[in-house]
Amino acid sequence: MKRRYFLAMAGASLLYPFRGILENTYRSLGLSNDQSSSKKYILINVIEAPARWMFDTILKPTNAHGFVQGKLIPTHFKKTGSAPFDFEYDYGFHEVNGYQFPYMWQFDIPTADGKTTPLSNLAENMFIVRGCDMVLDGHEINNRRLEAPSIGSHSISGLHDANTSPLFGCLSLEGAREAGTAAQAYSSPSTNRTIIKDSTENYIEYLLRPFIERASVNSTIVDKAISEALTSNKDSHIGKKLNSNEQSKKRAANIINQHHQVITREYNDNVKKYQDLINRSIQRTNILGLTDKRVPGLKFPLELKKKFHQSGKAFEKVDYLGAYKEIDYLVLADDVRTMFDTAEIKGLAKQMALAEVSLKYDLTSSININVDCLRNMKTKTTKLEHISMTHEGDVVHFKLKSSDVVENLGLRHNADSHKCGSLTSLLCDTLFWRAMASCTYELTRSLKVASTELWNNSLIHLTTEFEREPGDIDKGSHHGFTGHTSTFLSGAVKKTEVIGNIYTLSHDPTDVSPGCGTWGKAADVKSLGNRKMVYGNISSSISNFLGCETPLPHEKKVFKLKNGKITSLIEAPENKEFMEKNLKTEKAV
Amino acid sequence: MTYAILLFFSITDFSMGKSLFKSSTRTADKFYVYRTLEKVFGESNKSILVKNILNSPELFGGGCLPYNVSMKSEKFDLSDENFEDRCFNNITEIGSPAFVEMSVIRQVKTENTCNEILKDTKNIRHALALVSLSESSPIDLKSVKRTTNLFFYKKKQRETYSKIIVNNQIKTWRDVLLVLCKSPEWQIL
Repeated sequence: MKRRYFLAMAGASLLYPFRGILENTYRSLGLSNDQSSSKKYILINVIEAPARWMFDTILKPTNAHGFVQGKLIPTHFKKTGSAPFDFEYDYGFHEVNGYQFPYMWQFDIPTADGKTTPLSNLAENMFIVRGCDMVLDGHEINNRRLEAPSIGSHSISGLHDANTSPLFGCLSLEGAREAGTAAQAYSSPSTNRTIIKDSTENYIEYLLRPFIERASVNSTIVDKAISEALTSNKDSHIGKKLNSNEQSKKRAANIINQHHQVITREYNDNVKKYQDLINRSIQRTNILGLTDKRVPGLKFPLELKKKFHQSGKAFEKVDYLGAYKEIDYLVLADDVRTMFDTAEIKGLAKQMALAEVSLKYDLTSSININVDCLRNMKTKTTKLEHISMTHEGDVVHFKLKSSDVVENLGLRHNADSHKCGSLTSLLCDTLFWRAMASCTYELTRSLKVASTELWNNSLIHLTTEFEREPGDIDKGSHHGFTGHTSTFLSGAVKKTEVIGNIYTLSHDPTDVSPGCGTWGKAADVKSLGNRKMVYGNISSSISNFLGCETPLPHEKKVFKLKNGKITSLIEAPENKEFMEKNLKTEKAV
Repeated sequence: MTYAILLFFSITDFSMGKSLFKSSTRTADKFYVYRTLEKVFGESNKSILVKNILNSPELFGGGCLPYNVSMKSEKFDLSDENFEDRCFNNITEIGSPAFVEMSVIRQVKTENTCNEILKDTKNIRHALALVSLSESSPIDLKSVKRTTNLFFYKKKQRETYSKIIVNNQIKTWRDVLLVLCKSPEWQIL
């Protein structure tokens, strides 16, 4: 190495110590976003990825966009008859603020005042990002990536908490899933999440009780000594965390001691409020084209015409009867709608109630909610294995193997509907999303009423691991991990917007059912360099809104916050034709 | 060009995310916290420790044993052997993580536990007797250093706390033990 070159490198490396000065200058010039202290992030994570094509996966943004209706991608019944299998599906649209939203958006949802409101009101502050390719298959890995997109690094909420020093670290409302979800992926350089288990009777009491008990003991001199000891260690990595906790603890104690009665009362009222919204959204609904008419369940003995797969193979029992499947059970109700009279979404009311008070009283900066599926749908049912199938010419006969195989059970709708038929999924998923819409609408309304600033600084992220890809035969759907949708609600969203590109029709041989219709598979985005959007693009955008570091700094944002408004950074949404790409290394023929 | 590259690297660590590497502290689990407090203050505090510590694996970490003796039980006797290995709330506690980072609620629960235990002077005497002290022993640097041995194994921490306790002129052994017990640092491994 030449001496001159060596000296130049050594001299230039002397710049390194000055990076601290540059950092402070960067901050003082306002280039770092110090507004982050007031930002709130709420991840509402519907685990196990139910279908969203009837709710917020916008398959055809406008009438100018291509759309191919898949036979197993319905939004409602075109007709329902009086016998099993006497129904026909349709996929309908309803215009909402210039976009073609799915069919259900033309109807009302229950509100907290006992009345209803058009579902389309929810879309006023809605920003939908569709067509995101999660690249990897799997519930656990993708659910965890919703919170921690860079595996092994700190998570979005964790980085946000590090920026904001909240009273309580991210409230992890785990629900029934205590492992393998976004909630457990939380990681922060400065604090820990606050885990609230599903088995906890009263969420707010769990949070506040330790502080109320603590308040009864006054030990100023002891607290002072502990603070002094922790401060002496404040520059170490551990010391920083402990000091941060100590500060949060003191602030929490002050707020809780002053307001715990009001907070507790409000939480208890909220639980009843949200439970009422959920019940009214699911039970005894009368939705045109869905639940306004009797929907007959299976009835035996049953005769159907013989069918064959495209390969020539004869249909199996599950292929014939699959539309009425809920995992291993067949729905035999005289009217399938009665299943929903007892249906519930466990824990959701408590979760939303806590989210509302936590945001209003500034108890936290981030919340992770794991939402459970529909449960306890009481119906007459039997297992597929209890049905016999015999052939007679072109006719297939189905019978119950014995009279005592019919049971009345409370079924659970598996959101991961590999083994749930199109009919049960259409009803279950639509009513489920209706309940989610109603609860989310109430949360947004409450935030708006509490404070415009709070609403403008809050980002509600309603999402799942990925969309679903319908099967070619009606016995269940599959992981559509190449198509993910994230829906955002915030006061910073000033008008309804949809971004992201999908394929009108994909013949990708790696799809489970190529050519099954438009379902939301990600297509290339020109603004991202003609490649598919990945979750890192979404997480960078979220981090930008929150004003915190992004876990994936090399991934471009697809939207950003500018002058208090969320704006798209990519082109308007397109529905593209699938073109199989050749590898660059392939020789031209 | 070289200067530009070096300048670039010298400033990118703050503009592109300097705290992206992940590190975590190792904290004591519920068994360690339970055993320490039981050893220091006596076996008579089992019910307090079960209520505040063993019942909260989500705060303190530590699973429960998946054997017959550890099935969830509505009633158990504190004199049962290995009762602390039981799943106190839910069988899912089997999967509780081994380490849970220090949180605000964990700290407050620890403080409440210490407050409750140290209401009883019998427990103060038990702790002091372990280091050959009594309630009438003077609260000086030498004696306080001996009590720090009850919680801290790192010399630096023992010295820090000893000096702070003496400098703040803490007048009762109860308060001395409260400072040590309530500090979150002894739960950091």
